[in-house]
Amino acid sequence: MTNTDIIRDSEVRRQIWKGAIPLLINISSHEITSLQTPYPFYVMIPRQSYLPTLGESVRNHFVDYVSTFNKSDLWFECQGEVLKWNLPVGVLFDVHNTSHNLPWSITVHFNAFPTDKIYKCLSESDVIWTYLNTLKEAMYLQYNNVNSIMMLSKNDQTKLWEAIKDNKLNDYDETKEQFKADGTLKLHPIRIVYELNKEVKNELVPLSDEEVKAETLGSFLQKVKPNRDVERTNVVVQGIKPSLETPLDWLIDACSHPDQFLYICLTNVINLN
Amino acid sequence: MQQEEPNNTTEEPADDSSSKQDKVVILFKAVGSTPLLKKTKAKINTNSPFREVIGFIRKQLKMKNDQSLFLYCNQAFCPNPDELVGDLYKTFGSDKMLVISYCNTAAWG
Repeated sequence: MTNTDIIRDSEVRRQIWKGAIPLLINISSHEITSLQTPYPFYVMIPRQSYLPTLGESVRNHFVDYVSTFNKSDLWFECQGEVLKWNLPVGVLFDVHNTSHNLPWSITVHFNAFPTDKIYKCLSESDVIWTYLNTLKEAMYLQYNNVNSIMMLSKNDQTKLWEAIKDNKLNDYDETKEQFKADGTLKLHPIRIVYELNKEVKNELVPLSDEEVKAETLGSFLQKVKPNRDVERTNVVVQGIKPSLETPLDWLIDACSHPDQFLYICLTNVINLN
Repeated sequence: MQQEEPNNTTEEPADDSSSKQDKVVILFKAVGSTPLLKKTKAKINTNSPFREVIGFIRKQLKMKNDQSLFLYCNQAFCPNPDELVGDLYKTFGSDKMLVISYCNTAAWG
């Protein structure tokens, strides 16, 4: 690779981090107990961020229109499907919003929490904890060791989280220097996310460094999901439909999420087995 | 090429002899002052989300909803409830089983 290529790669990453999704949030009509219907809530959310970061403002917007109100019972849904808050918003958008309509219209609920599908997120510290554990899982795959995350100071953890919430790539990279592990990289953290039978599946498909260097996106998918309908299935990474010729290691460098995972979203999936 | 593709369902859990292969043995280890389980091993379906493992331990230990429980994979991280047991086993398992430590406090962050 030449120098210009490398510069361009970091530019791609910068562009991806600038990505945000306009959301239109409505409350489910049968949960409204006031005479007036509330206005929808509009907000921009960074692709790398997580839905529970909106909890407080969404709650404040709709609080006067619902009667039963349990702070922890807030959850989001898109066309009848529960949105899993542990996944980055950009991944949820790529998997659920296959029509690419903007703003992305989702529904908030304050009742009937789907305990069989997701866990309650009681506060922002729950989502931070979940994020840090996903990051630890990634580090464990990469270096078999999570000490560098365990050693991260409270200040650095906060800085890291704020960077994700507020789209601050420089702050993220600075903190990342703090938890950079030594040693040879063992496995690259990769996930394949798709919706099948009204449920979003999130498969872990790590790959060794050697294999990553040898594969393209297409050859990798051929290996792990050989029975996918190639004509029909769309492959989306960070909101982009990359060429299947894209080298996998380039994709990992430029398009991984802040939890270090590369999320490859498959849409229009009928059957994968 | 599409037409050649038979509707391959061999990876689906079968109802007969192959069903044994679709389960994972999980070995549970208590950490700190966490009460011990009567049975330290369990067989869980590869297609089950990790949520079921959490539910299993909670039930075995008769834990109330407000009691905290942390499950660690290889003493390193807490798998997400969404993660498939089969995926965890394939990646982090050893000696034909997946080792999960359980603790009533955050032992490893």
